[in-house]
Amino acid sequence: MRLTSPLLPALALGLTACNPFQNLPNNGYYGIDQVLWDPTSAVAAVDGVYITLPNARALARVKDDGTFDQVDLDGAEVVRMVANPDASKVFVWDRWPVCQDPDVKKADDCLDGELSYSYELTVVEDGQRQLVKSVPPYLNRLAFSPDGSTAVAYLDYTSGDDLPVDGVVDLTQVSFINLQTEDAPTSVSIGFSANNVIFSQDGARAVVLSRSSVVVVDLATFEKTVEYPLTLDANQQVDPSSAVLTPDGRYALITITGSSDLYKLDLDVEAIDIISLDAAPAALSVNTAMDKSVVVYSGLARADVIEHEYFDISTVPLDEPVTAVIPGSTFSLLYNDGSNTHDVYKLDIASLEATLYVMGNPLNDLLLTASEHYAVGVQRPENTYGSGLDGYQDSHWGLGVIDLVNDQDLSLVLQAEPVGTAVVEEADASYALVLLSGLDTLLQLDLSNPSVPLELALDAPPVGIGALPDGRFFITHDSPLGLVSFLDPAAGTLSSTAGFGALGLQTDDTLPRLDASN
Amino acid sequence: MISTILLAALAAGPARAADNEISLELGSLGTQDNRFNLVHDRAQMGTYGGRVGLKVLDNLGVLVDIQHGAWGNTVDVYGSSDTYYDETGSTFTAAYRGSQVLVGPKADLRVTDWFHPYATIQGGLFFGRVLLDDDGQHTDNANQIAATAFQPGGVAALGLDLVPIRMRHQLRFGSHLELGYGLAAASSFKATPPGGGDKIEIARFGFGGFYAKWGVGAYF
Repeated sequence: MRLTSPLLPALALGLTACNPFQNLPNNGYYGIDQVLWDPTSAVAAVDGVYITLPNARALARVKDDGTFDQVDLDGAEVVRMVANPDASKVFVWDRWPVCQDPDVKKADDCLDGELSYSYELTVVEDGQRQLVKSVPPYLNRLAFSPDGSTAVAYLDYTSGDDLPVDGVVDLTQVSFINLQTEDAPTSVSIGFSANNVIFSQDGARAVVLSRSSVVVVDLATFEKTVEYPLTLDANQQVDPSSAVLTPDGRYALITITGSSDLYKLDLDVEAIDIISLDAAPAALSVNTAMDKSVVVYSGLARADVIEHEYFDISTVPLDEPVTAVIPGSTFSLLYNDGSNTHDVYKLDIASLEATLYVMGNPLNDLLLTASEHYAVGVQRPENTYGSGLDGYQDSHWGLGVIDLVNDQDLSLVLQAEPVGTAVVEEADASYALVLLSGLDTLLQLDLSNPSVPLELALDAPPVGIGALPDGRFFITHDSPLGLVSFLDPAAGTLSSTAGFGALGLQTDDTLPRLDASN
Repeated sequence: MISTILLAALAAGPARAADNEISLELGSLGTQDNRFNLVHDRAQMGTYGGRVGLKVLDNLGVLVDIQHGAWGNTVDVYGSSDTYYDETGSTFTAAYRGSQVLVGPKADLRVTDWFHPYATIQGGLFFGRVLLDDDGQHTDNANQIAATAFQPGGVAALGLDLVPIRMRHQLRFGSHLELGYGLAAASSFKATPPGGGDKIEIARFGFGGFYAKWGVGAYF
């Protein structure tokens, strides 16, 4: 039958009437105590984006083909998760409730004081539980060896959160986990507050820093091979703040909180030297290609460059102090992320020449493109600002773009606060991707001409942006039922996956793992 | 009580045959399952529909009853982080549209010509659809999720037919009131995700509790 034009409106009207979502009944209110999904928990892996579902006490894997599934954690809920360096696995700290009364089947029926939690570290790969390791629950961070075969679990107490305790807490302990076997993790007592782990480039040794001591652990046997005391006075506390290994892996350089001493540990001959600096460093960074280290200070307008043969120091004066260092191949970018200064420096490591770029507003962060042609930074509003156009710029969020090849910089004013920024490069173009709070668009700025951004429409206001292992990006959205977009910047395409927040929307509180006696 | 009336009706003499009937109804169905609070926050929910009564034997007929209802809530998601949920983003609509088809015997007593107490037991099927939508302003937003389920159930009730309008011919108009207990088994409401893939359960509930229906109709 041929549809005549008068029939089309009638057909459209009929189809509209059939839309079950039109004029949904809405007579009252219902409250859910926890968010259905937590966009800030998103972890990207090669097989999808893993996202926690707090209300359902579950974990979802969201894929770029529009589908999603639930990861079976045997009733456990996610506490924290992180991907390994190649994003092939996701490590999940999870827990499940246990009631002392064996006859109780539901958490709500368990008396106060009888309900506790058991913990485990689960390795998830391709949406499945592949490996479960029993690691003390308070060891809340993981460091991975360069080849990914070993992980070290340690306690980072910078957040000050309550520690999940399952029995006792040994604050000197770290746990070495062989990820290639089902062997139980090996606990090693390092020293109080062991919270910094670095690995030699060959993956044979781990250097673990703790209060007043540094320990080298053989990753084949998980045994301590060397222990360096950082002080001989038992009453003195020496807290390492950062550490790097020289590119040859021989030396560990360690900065100390509140101290101008830079410790140099010779890992081959078990010797310690102390290099005296003029102030406590704000940041320490190794420039691998140039085989030199860069030290900057929050109170001194200078950068010190340390060569790694004799550890001689060359000083480069700056106009203003800097607190952050981003290493490039032949240079380092220096900026201040803690004060209202506007300066960014490109420090040439070979010539020790510093090129100054002055941003419109202070920088929150700085991203370097892979080709090192551009640097992009989010500029925050200043606390106090003047009048006129200067005052307008000072009072707004902004984006700084630095052309490091042609030594040009540009500060753009943004409509709203950025909720996420990323940089991406193709063969012939570099882009910055910017998400602004409350706006349903993604700004794609061609860094060769950043003043004219391309706007890509989004399904909902964005919450954050993250990189996928294949060079694409995922964007989380303000959507209570779950919405993640996948952006291919090369093709300029967006796809989305929705609805995963509804997984387990109605859950009961039946205690898991009852058959296993918890 | 219901069985007593049924037995009494069957034992009663052929004083008058049961009527055929067509009625329109308003009803109320109990929802004791707390999980139904997602879409309806009261213990009783209103319905509308109709019933057809067919005479089978003296004092015994068959009722076919169809009820429909739709309920919904604005769901507030608490525990939201200030960083990503604003006032509009922290809510979504959860709604339920359901129908029930019930069939069962009805046995009545002719106390007077216009006062007919009766008892009925009916079994049937509840068909429902749970709908989730996080953007009521648009009809093409990504998060429009619909899940369906069939639930077996039934009711047992006592009622009164009041047929006071006497006419010379057979057609009379009357009213009925029915009170009882209704039950529908808990079922899993499964939805196809917006992007396809395996169905997911988004709700699971049943019905149960006091139910009432009032109707007006024609008896012949």
